[in-house]
Amino acid sequence: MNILSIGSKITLRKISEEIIEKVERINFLDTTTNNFLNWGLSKTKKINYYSGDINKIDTLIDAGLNESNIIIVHCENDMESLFIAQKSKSNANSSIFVILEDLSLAEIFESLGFIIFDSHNLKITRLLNKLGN
Amino acid sequence: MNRNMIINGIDNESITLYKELLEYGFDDIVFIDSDINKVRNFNNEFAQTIAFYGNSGSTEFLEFIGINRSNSETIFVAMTPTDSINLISCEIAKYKYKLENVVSVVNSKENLPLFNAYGITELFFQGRSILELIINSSGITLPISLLDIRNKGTSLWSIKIPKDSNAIGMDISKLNLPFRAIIFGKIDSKGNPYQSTENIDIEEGDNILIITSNRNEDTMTRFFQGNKNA
Repeated sequence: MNILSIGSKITLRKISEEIIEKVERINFLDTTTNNFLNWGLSKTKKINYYSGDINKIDTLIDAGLNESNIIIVHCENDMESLFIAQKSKSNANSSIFVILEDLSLAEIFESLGFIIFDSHNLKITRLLNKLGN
Repeated sequence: MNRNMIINGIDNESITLYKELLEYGFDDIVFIDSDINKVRNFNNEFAQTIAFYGNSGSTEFLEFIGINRSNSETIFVAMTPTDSINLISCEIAKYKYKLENVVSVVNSKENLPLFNAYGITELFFQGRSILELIINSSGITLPISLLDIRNKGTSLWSIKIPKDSNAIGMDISKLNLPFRAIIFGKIDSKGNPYQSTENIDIEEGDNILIITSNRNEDTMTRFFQGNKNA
């Protein structure tokens, strides 16, 4: 499975550490790669870092959107996370996980096909199930 | 039924917009913004509080300013300079509060199909008129939306045939577009209208009138461009 992880919040780092052995590749994308400097995940064939305007579809494509089976988004705020998640849906074959700060929006966006995680109570069982545990 | 209007985003023209809406008979209007200075400056112009500071992605805040008011039809307008805020706040209005009247500004052309795909179809694209002027003067012809078919994400389009268009010489009655569309006909360079059922060739300078989904705008542009611009 190929993963595209958008944003650089601590939640994404934790998720990456849990799934790194189960996936073929993780591409990390944020506005600047400096945000990943203290992550402790070195650049390998499995891990790649990308940067750019994450609101632009070209940036998402350059970071491997179309080759990704799973996309995980946790950006600066919920509005941006949900917006980028919706842009990412141009790859119809992927599963998109969105990590939200405010779960009052979860119901709407789950009904639109996104899988929502709570940033304050991160349980990634559904992601692990997708990866075959 | 009463009507109330929520306008998400304050800019230099908001005061003018507010006054014009009052003239149209809308008297129950609030502006919201996440910039407290914009809210403060706006309210300084009026005796009563019209603008409120808050996060338009918060359902609690939206309810506070009246998005789900009973016995009132709420009109929600998003006009911030940030498309993510416009799209998500409109989706909350449409899908959580079931509002029928949701209007948005779109700041980036790239995002127009996204708004349409998620059912936000009453759109105003900020850069369109300037962009069309510049692009059209450079020899590429963009389709112009003449009329939005309300709530359908579909428009009546006019596209001018440029000099090098591959469509020149094609019989309009046999035009085979690579997307679903109704071709009404053409207006030639002298202003004469022709129906699409007439066996008449497309010529440089003709305007072709087409009804199709807004998501086909780019495909339509490419189809009618000349080789030089392809």
